[in-house]
Amino acid sequence: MRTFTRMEPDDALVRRAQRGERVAFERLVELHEQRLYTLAARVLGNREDAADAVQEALVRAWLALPKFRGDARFSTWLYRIVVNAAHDIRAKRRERTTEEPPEPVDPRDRFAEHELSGELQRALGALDDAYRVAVVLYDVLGCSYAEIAEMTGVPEGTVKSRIFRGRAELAERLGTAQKRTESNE
Amino acid sequence: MMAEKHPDELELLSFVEEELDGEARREIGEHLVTCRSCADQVRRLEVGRDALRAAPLLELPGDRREEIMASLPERRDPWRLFRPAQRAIVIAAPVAAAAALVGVFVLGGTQLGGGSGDDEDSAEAGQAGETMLEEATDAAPEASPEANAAALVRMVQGPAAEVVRRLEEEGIPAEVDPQGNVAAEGRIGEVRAALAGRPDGNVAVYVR
Repeated sequence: MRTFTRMEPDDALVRRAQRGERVAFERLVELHEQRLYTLAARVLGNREDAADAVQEALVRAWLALPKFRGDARFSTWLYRIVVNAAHDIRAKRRERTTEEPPEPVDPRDRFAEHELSGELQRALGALDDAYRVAVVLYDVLGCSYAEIAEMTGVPEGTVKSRIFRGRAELAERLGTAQKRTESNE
Repeated sequence: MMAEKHPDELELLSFVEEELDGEARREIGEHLVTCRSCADQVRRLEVGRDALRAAPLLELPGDRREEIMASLPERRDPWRLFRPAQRAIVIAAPVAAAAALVGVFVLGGTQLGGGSGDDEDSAEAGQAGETMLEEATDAAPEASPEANAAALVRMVQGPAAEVVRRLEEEGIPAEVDPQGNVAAEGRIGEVRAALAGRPDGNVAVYVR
């Protein structure tokens, strides 16, 4: 069974932030920033880009907040904005990479120091983007199938399929599934 | 081996997630005992899940939150009594007659957020004399009671909490009000001097 603790933001804070209170919004940022940053970092694989995506997303959220009607949880509303901002940041980075002429020094070096390391991130980075987003939202952030479907604009069945394939491929890439099978033989 | 229907991927995911009722769960469990292929699929799902769920949450770097808060643009909310253009007019009028009217311009009971170069003029007027306080007309419904009689010093760059810290370093008691602006207890000249090096921005600093 899933045992995630879902920290609901204080609705009163949302209402105050909707009325323009920056202090209330700052408190909401404080409550959510770790999860927003984790989402962006796991999707993008780069700390600097992830922080930029979170900043961009929070500016968008601040501006759109008066229109937030509470149909979704505030957290999932933010996740959706972060995923969109992360995709925009990645698109910009790709443009930059193709537009800029090659430099004597590998231009990726300036990003390299910010790359997330670790076996899990390498495996995640190799996944199809839709699978990566689905497994991060479901397994890392504890969103439901319905919430992910609403956020990503696909049916719940598609969300489940993406989680299935994302996890299975991740296990393959981590190599542990195969090792376990071999050790059981 | 007897031909047997394999569970589809959604059923296997539901099995791993313990979302199936007793009968369906038992059937798949029995299938897995004899079907190596499906058992491997289940194992992969578990391995992927465990790896993801063991991953720690990551910390937003250092002072990024402050940078984010400082980067928030002004939001034009319909309930704001004074929009920047209106405020400029309201402020410019007494400043034009400033030779005679040496008083602190008051924005009573209003939301003070938002920036305008003209606000600096009101601070000039405020520095000239700190006693004359007027009640503004229509108090905004969301206004904090503390702001009912307040003299705007100037609009500075946030975050508000940092402005408060700066003022307190100079021995000026201050706090962030419910609107995210800064209320200080002190003379306008002192407050202004304490914030001399701070760029203009969206946080209103007022004395009360």
